Amino acid sequence: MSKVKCLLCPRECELRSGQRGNCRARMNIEGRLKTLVYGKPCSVHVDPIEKKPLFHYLPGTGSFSIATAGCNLHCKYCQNWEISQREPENTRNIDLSPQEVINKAIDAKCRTIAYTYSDPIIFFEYAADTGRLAHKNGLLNVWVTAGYINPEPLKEALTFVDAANIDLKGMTEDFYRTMSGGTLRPVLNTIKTMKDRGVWVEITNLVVPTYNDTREDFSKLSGWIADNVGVETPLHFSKFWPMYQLKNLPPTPEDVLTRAREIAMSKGIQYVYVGNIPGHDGNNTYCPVCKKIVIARRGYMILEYNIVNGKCRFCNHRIPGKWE
Amino acid sequence: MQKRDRLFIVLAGLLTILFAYEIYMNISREISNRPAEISSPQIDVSEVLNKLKEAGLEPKEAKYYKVIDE
Repeated sequence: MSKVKCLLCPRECELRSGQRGNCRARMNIEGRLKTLVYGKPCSVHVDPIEKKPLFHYLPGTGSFSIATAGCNLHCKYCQNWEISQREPENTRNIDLSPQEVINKAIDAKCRTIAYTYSDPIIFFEYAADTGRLAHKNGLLNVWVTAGYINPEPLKEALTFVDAANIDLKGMTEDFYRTMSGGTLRPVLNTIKTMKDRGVWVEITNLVVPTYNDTREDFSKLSGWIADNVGVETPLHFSKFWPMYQLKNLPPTPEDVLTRAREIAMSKGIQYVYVGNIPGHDGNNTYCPVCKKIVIARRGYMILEYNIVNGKCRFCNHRIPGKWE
Repeated sequence: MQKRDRLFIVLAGLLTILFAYEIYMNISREISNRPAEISSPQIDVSEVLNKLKEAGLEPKEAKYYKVIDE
């Protein structure tokens, strides 16, 4: 029986018949590569789009969110490990065809479908069919991803992905290798390619105590964003909560996240947020010119909205994003 | 025979058995022309498929792969 080589992500798993990929969601069945998770999500929710997090993309709207089991990275601190680090036969899945996803999203009055929680890359075929159908029905597609994908499938994804929150976990190959079992270079390529091709991109960095929380870490990450995708790209620093294989660590202290935000802003990044700490100043969007709050938030909740026709209500400065 | 001599003979005997076993294993590997490493376990594909079926999963042709002839 033939071996197959999966070309979806940079791992490029070579599989004998009966073997499954590193992502647990793809398998060589009698010489053909099959996806095991098509139409079988294990998580289906309606979330505020701010939860992705996307703060500059249709704020205040609901996003119909789906995920299947599996992931092509294995982060020691994964916050969704119960689904991402399991085989699809070991999660509780529901039958939901692409058309049913669209119908449910419309019923729930969502404007977007979010492919999230695990990583849409590992349920590519399902996400692609659903994404195309979404466009035909006037819905937009949001990917929440670690960006660990090969250039060819990424090119296809660009035809239906409208916005993405990309997880930039760290800025060294060593960090990716030891913490996630992946590599950094393809992730940077995904961020740049999506940005260049007009996808709305926001970046998240989960700050893990003792692993990626130094001034140098924040400075390098922010510097790369400023130089390569622009200072208008929103950046979210998220609080780590002890999970999975790093339960021994404490949660990220608030002052570390505040410092991360200050360093990113000193590098010129205009929209820097602090996530998972409701009530922090970094929940709000500030106009970079007049410094007033254009969107006041508490966690995912919008308290005040001062953007009119995509501009600051107070000084008329254009705020980048999709607002209506 | 002293107690120390008896202990020496027992230890020497054990070492001889160990060497003899190692030599036997090396010869048998040569004869069968098999690598010394343990090969990857054989997977019972029908068993895997049954398990997927029981879980309600319906494998579907994937994109982005190539077939490598062995």
